[in-house]
Amino acid sequence: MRIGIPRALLYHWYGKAWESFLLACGFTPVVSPPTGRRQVELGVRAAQDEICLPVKVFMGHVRYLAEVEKVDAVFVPHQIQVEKNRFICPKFMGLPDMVRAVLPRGMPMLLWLNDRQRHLWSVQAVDGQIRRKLPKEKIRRALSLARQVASERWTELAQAAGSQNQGLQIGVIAHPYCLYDGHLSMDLLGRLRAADVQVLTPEMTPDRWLQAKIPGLNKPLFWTLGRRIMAAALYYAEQGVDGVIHLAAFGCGPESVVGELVARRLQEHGIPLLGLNLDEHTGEAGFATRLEAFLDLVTRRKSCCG
Amino acid sequence: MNKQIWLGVDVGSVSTNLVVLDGAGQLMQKIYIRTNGDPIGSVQRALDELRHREIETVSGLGITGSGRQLIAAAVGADLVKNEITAHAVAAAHFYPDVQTIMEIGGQDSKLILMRQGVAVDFAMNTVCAAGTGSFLDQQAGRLKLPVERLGELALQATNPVRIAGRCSVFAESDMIHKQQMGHSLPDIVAGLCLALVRNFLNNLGKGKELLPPFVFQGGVAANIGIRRAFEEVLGAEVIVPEHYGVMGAVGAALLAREEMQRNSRPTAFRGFGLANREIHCESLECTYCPNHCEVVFLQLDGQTIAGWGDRCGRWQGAKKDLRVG
Repeated sequence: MRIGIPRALLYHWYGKAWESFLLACGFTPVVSPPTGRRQVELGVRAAQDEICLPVKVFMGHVRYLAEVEKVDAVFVPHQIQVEKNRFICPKFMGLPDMVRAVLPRGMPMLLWLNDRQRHLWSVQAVDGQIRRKLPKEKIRRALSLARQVASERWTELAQAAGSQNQGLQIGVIAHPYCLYDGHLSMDLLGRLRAADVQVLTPEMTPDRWLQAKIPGLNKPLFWTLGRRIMAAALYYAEQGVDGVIHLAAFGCGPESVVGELVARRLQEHGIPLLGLNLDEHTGEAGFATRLEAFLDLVTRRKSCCG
Repeated sequence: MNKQIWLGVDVGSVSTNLVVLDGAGQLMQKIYIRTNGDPIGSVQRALDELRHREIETVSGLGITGSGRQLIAAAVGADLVKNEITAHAVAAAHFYPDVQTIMEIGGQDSKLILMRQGVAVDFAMNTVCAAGTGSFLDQQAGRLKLPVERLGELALQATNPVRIAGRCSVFAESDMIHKQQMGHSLPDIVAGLCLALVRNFLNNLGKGKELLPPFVFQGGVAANIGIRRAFEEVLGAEVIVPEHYGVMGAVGAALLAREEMQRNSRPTAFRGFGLANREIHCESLECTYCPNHCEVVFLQLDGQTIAGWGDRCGRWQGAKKDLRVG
């Protein structure tokens, strides 16, 4: 049975784990190709207008798997919580329902459920046919394998990428599905690497920064991704980065709050910040101009003020 | 030692500007022509004009503006820079203590914050072109006025009307409405200037600390009405540089000088003879992958010398250094 995995949203964190899970269960995982114009067009046409671009792109991948790859079922990550007391955004909670509206009638879904109320890692087959192929013991073994793969992937993400030269050091804050999707991010990481910049990503933020209380906030941030971005920004500031780039999807609710908090903190530290917003109308020329101008700004500032 | 000559070109959506600086960074010549949708032709015309002004050997050439990639490949540039850096460098060259730069061009507007001579923050208008030169052009056309006259007309206003500057479509219908209500033309034009300035400061200046001295440059700085509106809203004097319309080109020339002084090498400029050579572009939709990038090839006298527009770099060959970005 061929089960399609959309290469979108938290695939960029957990994708390898999902693949190995499906393999261990005896399915053939089919991962959609990296985002391109095709998936964006399919997604924008299928999804509601108000939703953020990453979710639209996810829908594009789902349609690609169903219509082009003609898979037998689609794997849908229903991720409400991936850690204690913190949440992924509401759009992830409603993902299966949105996918159902997009899928061809009758195509089954295999839900990967991350929810503290049940288990942080569990699987739910909406369709009886898939469920029959998945005895509990098999799932248990496949899950433990997936967990191991996930932790390896995490180590990989947390390791410093990019050059270790003495040049510019730039911290990037972004959700993984914006940052690691080369099409959505307009290859931001590649452009920075080409400019010989040492890049810090949110995944490189040490755990103690994620656990620490955020000074000046009287409540903890309960969004997993937003919290990581906030912690990363504070960590970058302490590391004395030359600048920070915030890549955000237009219309992202949590980001509109966290982005402002981050901007204020970085201003207190005197660290230049470039905000880049992504939507389906984002032009590459404007993106490149801003990025280039920002790198100039940071370089000139460094060479004149030390 | 030979006298140094630095060329700067700013290929914008509305105008193409070319400047000649001497070794000390003083402006010797400037040419300002309308791009009219033909960046290559307009640069050729500018070069042709310079040829007749007996310029000596060129030490280096820098290019900026939205057409920088195309023109850099065509004329051979020593440096290709974005407009933001170019404007910041030019303003700081003439006004070393400038802290806020407002630049309004044909299709985009920028706000650059400077401290101690270096840029510390900037903002550029995103998808909306309300308040830029093209919009003023369009409104002047509708009012059957030369765009150059809008500014002096605004100064005659006694009671500027309120106009919604948030969007050019709304601004236009507001202006028509005010005309139908019987408001005088100067009051409407002055209202338009104020609306555009508020829109600029709200959109780009949000949350930023705008400190004097203020420098206002770009083609729209010719409009005295907009300058007055800035002064009124900011409550401070706004300086318009003598060469406000070509500051981007000046910045490109200064940056080329900086670059060439750092890495001494012969200039890549193909010479003024380019004005008479055949420069031509061809495009295709690449079908290697589903992205279907629109790829452009540049030909000089029938020979392909550069290609771009592809995300993967397949068509760029040896000309990678000319990529925007």
